[in-house]
Amino acid sequence: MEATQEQADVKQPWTREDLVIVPMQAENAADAITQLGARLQMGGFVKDSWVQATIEREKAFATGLPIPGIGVAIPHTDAEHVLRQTIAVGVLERPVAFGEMGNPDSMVPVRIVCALAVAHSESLIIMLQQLVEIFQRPDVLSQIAEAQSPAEIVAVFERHLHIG
Amino acid sequence: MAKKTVAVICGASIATSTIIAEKLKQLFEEENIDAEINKGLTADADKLAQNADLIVATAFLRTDYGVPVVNGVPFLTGVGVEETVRQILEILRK
Repeated sequence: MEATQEQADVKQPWTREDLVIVPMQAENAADAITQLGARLQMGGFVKDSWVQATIEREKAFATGLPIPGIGVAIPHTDAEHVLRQTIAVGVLERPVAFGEMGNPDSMVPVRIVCALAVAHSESLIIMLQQLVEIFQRPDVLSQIAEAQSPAEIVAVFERHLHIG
Repeated sequence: MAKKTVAVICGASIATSTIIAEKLKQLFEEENIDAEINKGLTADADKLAQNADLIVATAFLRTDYGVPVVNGVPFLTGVGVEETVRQILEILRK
């Protein structure tokens, strides 16, 4: 069943406790994507094709954002692999290298991974616009990086992401 | 100043170029720059680069089009935005 416009509707929460892994340990970018993908799959948000598709896309178009102090990555793939829109968040105990967006020879030490399950390309734009606001605030990124529990991270997202 | 053309090019999805195009539109209004903004993916780069005075990209472009290229990722991260804006204005005001 493909994601519908109603399901992509913006009144849904941005993320959920079962979609947050903190603290997270991962060997590499693919491992981080696989772990977050497993949560997305268990929650019924993505098809079982999402993980591999996202790993492949990450290799071709890296999503590491070089924010000083706290690198962030936003791995995602096409809507055809998505059932319902959401974000899975992993806060890595030790940074993992992701490729830098637009700069394939550079790597970014990433601590916060936001795996995006995107229902339509229009919703990706909305999600990214909102996330970009958070990425530009070092205080909010610190809150996420220092959070001790999934509940805290869900609260930060609710507090700082607004719809419409 | 003659009307300028700016190409915004991103990797696989149109989302990052849309966000950057919005920010450029605001910037050009503030700075009184008459510029047309065209968005696309790397697959459209050849076509978009044709008449462009400037390319703002979030994906690595393998071809040198003889058009100045500025990295657009600072518009997403906020890091180094002032420098990026300075470069863009300098190129467009030539």
